[in-house]
Amino acid sequence: MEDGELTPSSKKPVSFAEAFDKAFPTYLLLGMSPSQYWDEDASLVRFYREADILKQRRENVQMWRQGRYVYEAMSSALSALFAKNRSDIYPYPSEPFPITKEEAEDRERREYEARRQRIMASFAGSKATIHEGGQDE
Amino acid sequence: MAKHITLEYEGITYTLEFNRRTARMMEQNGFTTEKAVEQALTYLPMLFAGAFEMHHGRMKNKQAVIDSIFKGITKKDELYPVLIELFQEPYVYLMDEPEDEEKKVEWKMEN
Repeated sequence: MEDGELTPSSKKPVSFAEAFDKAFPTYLLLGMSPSQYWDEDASLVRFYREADILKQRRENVQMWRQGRYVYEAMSSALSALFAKNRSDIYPYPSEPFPITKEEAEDRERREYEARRQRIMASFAGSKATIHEGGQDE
Repeated sequence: MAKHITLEYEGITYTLEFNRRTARMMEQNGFTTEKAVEQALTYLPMLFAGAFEMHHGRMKNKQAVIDSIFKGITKKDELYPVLIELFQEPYVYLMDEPEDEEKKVEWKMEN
């Protein structure tokens, strides 16, 4: 018989007690207390299952983020090894990746402001150089 | 929240519901859904009494109170399938998710 093949079973139907006992360890693993499982609202198991899916999703995102940090670190280290100029080095992020939309927007705003300041400074610098050059003549 | 029945008797509100412990207890006492369907008249009082165990298992004169409430129950034929459904809830929630939104059943006592 191949795995997963459905065949008529001669076994008697599983009793509720058997089903409850069989599922009990799973729900203990999901964090339910014995009292919650046996004595409280029967629908609680559904919320524990849903919470477990959320937990798995969160762990998945955490692992992905961890991978991104490792990638950034490797990129930064490798670029430092092979860069001819200091300015060619790929910088490791100066702060953690934003998690919420607000954090991302705030970071974008700060980066925009920093860029603007740099341009202004460089513009002011070149203006001063031109001015000084004019005075020399 | 799992399905349950609320009924009022002599100024007290009773909640009829099953959890895994009381559903298991019912089975240990010989109750199964199959038997309940085949012999409704025999098993209705047992199922009715079992539904009190979760919330009122320790009340005084339990059996006498339950018998008295049971005598006053109207529309017993309609109550029976609802009780069977309540009995199955702890199992159903383990296997799948019930689809209907209606969770609470009010039962009127008419004498």
